[in-house]
Amino acid sequence: MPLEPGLIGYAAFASLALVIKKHRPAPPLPAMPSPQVARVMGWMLLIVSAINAMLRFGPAIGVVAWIGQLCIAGAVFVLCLAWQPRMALAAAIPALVLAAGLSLA
Amino acid sequence: MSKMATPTPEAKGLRQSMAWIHTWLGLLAGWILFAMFLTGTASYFRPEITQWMQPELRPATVSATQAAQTSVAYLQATSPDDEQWFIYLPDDRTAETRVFARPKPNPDAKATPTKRAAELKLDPATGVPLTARDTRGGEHFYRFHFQLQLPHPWGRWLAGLCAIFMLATSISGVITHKRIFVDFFTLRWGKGQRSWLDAHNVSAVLALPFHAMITYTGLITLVVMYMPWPIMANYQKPATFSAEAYGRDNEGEASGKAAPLAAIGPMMAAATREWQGGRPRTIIIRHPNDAAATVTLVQSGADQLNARSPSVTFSGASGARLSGSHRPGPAIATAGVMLGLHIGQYAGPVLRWTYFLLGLTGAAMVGTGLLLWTAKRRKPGTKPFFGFHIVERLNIATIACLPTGMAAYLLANRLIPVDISGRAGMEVSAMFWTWFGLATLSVMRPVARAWPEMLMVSAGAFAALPIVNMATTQRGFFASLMAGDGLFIAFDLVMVAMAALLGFGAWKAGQVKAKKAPTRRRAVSPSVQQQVREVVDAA
Repeated sequence: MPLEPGLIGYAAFASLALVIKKHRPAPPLPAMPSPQVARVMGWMLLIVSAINAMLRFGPAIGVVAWIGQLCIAGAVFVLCLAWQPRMALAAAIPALVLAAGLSLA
Repeated sequence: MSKMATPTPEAKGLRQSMAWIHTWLGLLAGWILFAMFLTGTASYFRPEITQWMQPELRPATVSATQAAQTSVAYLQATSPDDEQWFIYLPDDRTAETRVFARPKPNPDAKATPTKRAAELKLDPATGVPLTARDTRGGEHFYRFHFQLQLPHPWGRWLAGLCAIFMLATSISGVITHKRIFVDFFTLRWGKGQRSWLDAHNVSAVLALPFHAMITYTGLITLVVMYMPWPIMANYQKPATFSAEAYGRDNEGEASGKAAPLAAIGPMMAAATREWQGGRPRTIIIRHPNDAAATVTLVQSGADQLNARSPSVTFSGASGARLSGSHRPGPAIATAGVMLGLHIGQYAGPVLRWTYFLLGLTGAAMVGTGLLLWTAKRRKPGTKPFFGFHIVERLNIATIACLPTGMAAYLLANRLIPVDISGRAGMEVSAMFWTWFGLATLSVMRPVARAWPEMLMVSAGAFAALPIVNMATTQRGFFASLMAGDGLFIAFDLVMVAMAALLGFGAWKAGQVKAKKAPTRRRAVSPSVQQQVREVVDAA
């Protein structure tokens, strides 16, 4: 199932949330990037997600799929962040691993 | 946006006037928009809902070519002299072939016009007509989405007006929202009005590309109806415009000379080659068994973003290719892609579910916006004004009662006897009687009770669907699981998920009202007052 754009998008949003001070968890997560690094990482992941969508769906439908899955990933991330902030941020790692697995499968 | 953030007096004036537009246009159109979002979201699964609503139909899957051959054979046997045959082939989402034959017009003009033959469903493998319970299926939600069950053209006009309001509220909302990027991920639970604002912002901002796209493309879809004047100014007859824009239909006359119809299989293969693998979905045969017969194959919308599919026409007598549909100009191609983006027929399973979830986000945005309107105006200790009561009641009637109506439509499909006449209309009535009936009932309950009760009723209705389905058909959840029937499994799971979501809403609504008194007392504390000022500022 071509879900990688959304999964990578989730990780991208988690990174971008770490740029904003109020979303940085108080005892920091292990291996939490600094705001500067998180910003670069977040934007890089968004680009990777876009490239992945183009490759998986073709350029025309890829754009639609990319934006659509990003919107859903963002909504899911915000819901998780409101509920369990630490877990929501940490879930970026398994999301990326799953995306890697799906794109190799 | 960053320009808007400069605190000049003009900017403030602009934001305030935009906030006014956002509040009042959003409120006026909100209830209808909520219904449009919810039924439109369901419509992304239009063929699946139709399949679910005719559970007795389980034809075996065969190739499109075989389905075409069997249906042509059926039409040859039953109505070889008709003027035109329409054949809709099965695909991944529709199991049966649908055929529709139009008889020749009676040459005697005074004779009563021949009644249009009804559309028939055929078994793709054998071409034998299938009988199933009469239902409007997913078509009902789809039609309601833009016709609102009103007589033509009022429903479409009203839907268009609401879409224009929606477009205006989207733009004014973006201008009004001061901290789009700062509050991008901000959602705080249990803080009353602040939480509603957060939820409204998050559901609007995160899915903004979808909301903007769906609203604009929805309007564009019916633009020729909403704005007929450019065509009226340039064309004597609208038909001239459509002929020029979309190409002329092959309106050739019958020759009167009989000739057997060529085999359909090679034509389908030729069309697929011409479309580089695109599959034919619709077959239109004019003047079958005449020397001047034509066979037009229309490509399936599942293969392309543009919803206006190309077609290719063959001679019915020789099977030779006569013509292809003319290549649309850039404007028509753009319109076709916009329509395609809106209805999402091109979308594969993953993208279709994405559309579905995005549609729910849209409903959430409208719903939270409506609730925010009341949350902002609820002043503890004062008697609310009359309009406030109306809005509050309409919110309950729409947000809490419409889902029950939709579930009732599906429940009625299972509970109304299969062979009773007029049952399709009864299913539709069940939706509206349930919806408006519950809305009326909810008025008799205090607001604090009406919310959790009505949400609980809708949760119950959705939870009942898998059970009723199991009791009344052979395709209950476990049977479907054993048979690997993905559609019926997914349908039950979605119904349970909807029930859980609405049940969660009911539980939360009950909780909020239970601890209302303490929250009110807290609202006097300075820090919360600060917050309230913030909220009023932001909204």
